[in-house]
Amino acid sequence: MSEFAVQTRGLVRRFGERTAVAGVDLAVPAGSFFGLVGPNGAGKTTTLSMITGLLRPTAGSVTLLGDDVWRDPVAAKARMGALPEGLRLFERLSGRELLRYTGRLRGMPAGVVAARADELLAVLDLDAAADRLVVDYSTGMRKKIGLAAALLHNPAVLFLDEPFEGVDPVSAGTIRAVLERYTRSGATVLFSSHVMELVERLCDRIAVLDQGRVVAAGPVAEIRGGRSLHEAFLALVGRRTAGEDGGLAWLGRWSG
Amino acid sequence: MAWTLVRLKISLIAGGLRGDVVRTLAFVVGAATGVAAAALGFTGFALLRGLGDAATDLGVVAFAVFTLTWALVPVFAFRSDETLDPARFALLPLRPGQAAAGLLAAAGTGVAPIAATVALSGSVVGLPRSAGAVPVAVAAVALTVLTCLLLGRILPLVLLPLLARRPAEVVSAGMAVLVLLVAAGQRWLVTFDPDRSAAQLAALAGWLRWTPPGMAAQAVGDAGAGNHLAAAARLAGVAVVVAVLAWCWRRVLAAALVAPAPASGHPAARRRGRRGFGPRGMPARTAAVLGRELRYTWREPRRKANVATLALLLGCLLMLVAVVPAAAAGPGAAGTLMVLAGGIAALSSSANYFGLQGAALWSTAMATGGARDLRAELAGALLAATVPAVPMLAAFAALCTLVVQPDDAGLAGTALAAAPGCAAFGVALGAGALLSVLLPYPLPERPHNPFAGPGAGQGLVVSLTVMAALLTVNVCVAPVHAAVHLLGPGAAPAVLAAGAGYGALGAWAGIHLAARIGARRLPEIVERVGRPAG
Repeated sequence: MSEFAVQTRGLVRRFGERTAVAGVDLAVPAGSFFGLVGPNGAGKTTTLSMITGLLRPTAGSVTLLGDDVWRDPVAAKARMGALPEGLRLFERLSGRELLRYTGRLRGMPAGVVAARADELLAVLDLDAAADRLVVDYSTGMRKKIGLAAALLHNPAVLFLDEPFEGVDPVSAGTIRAVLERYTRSGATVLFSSHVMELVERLCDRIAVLDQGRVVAAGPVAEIRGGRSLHEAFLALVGRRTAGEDGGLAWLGRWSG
Repeated sequence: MAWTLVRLKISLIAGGLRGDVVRTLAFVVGAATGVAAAALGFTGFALLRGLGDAATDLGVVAFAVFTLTWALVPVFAFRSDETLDPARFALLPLRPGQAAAGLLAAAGTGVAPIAATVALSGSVVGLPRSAGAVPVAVAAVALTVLTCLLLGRILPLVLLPLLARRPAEVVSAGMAVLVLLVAAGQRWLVTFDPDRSAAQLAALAGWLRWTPPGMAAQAVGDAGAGNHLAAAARLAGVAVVVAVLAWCWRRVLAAALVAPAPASGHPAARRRGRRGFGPRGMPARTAAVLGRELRYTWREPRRKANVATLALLLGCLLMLVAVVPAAAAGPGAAGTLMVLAGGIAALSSSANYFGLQGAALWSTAMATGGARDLRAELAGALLAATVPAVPMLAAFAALCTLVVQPDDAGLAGTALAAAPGCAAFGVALGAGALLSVLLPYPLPERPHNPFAGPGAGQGLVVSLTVMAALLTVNVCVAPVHAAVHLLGPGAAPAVLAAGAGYGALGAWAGIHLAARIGARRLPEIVERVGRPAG
């Protein structure tokens, strides 16, 4: 088995004239909880889409546990799960139906799918809503059912794009507990976020992306360098907060 | 505000084309078709001038048909223009009247509405018989265009609550509309005689001149005949109808803006006793997709509308051939109609399979490793398309044979008519699978309008492609037609089996080819349809 769960080499993606990802090299050790952080528009989602085989790279290669994602998608996709940005699901299925459908889509035996689905629904606190249609779910419930669908086939590597966005603290706690348990079993999680506190708490390694490039990568403690991750991140991406003199003099002045 | 929204729509159309050669090309083809249709329509209406006394009668009928087509066809052909999502304006401090006027003006901005308006403007040349009637014609055209725009906006919002109901109720409601239409037009239709066309036209115009578009056209005739009072009264009548429609549009829009996104309307899904998903005895993926698609047919407004529209269309076709025998005369006419019905039934449900999955397509792509997976996927999707279509087509075959070829009515005749229909249905399913990978297009996600068509500027090209596919299907089923003629009623069961086999072969070939192409293009398809249009 490869030392790295995910490796990318020279990953580039251009959209017409615009370069969204400009040569990303990542090495995600197997069994790690790896964070991909960066400001909005840094190329996190584009990178994850290319790694998961959803968006064809303009250049570069991706391997997942030694299998080339783009040359041997069958082997690679069988061992990955994903919870992409926006998370649109087949919303006219109930939560339980969605899990059973996903399992059968991946060719899993019906009995195994049913048992795992029931277990996941219970652990993620969705059993009461299991027979409601996903279209009627809240954001947190959608994230949880999406996570359940991504974990159903017991993937070796899980990709999560902003998994905690719009999720209440209770649901976030449930998701976190499931993910921590998952990585303890030796699986790998690669997740993108711009919530530094969460990344700091969950990840053992991170890569900081800015303008389509990796500007820093390594263990969290190394990247922090004695500061909070938030401060280190701001120093790396080089943004400054617009100060009091940054215009907007009209803001907060109402006439009449 | 109206001008702002018109400019916004133009910007959205231009933005949608930027950097996308295929879409730009599609838009250019659509625009060119629009210009040709506008020129043809304008000339047609202008030529009414040479018809003398019959001009007004024909004008009345033409105005009514034009309004019915413009208002209804985009909705029932799933081409309703939803470039501007009304929900986006809910938070702006706009009065309902401003939003309604702005969205109406935006609805009139586009290739199809401009082409239709230009075409109808031909009546300003063709209908007036005196200079004094020209301003009346201008007003008549303006009021008719407004009527069309308003009906096109109001209908989806009015039909939405109906689509939240069970599919059987939706289809029943469609059938009820059809029966009402038949009842309304029966007196004229049953007595239709092509040899007395002028008198029949006058009789039809006699009724239609009491409809708003008919009144508008008749007003021009009245003004031309010097009857200005009658002309003014008729125009005022149309104006009142437009005002009432505008009021309705404002009301339904205001209600839609503050209504929450419609919930599914479904109670909790029934918990199945068994552990699987989809029918047993077939490959897991095919069964899963079949199960999912059937649930969607049952639960999703757009799919329900598709089934109801198909039922309505088959009913209309049947009505047309029942009362206008000339439309379907000669031996084998029922078979020809079946080819049309089968082709439409298949293409309407299969031609944009990946686009219908929309933003959820990523989950299909994540579980797709190659052509084998896609073959199983498409097989499930096409099987699901046959479930609601086959009973409808079977009923259509029986009724169609009874109406068009009463001498052949009975099992053998129906089987002979059904054979080319089966073949066309199967071949069109295969063509639909191919179109799904070759021309996938995103659909806007508009909870308030399940009839929303492809992104701005794309609808016409999609329609043209589907028509080309229909023509191809017609050509492909020629051998089955030949078998029907050569073998006759004596070999009806064999011919029906051959037709069904031919159709299955066409579907199989389409699936295989589409899966091979789709496996290579899946990331591009996800990129294209993964984000909703508009």
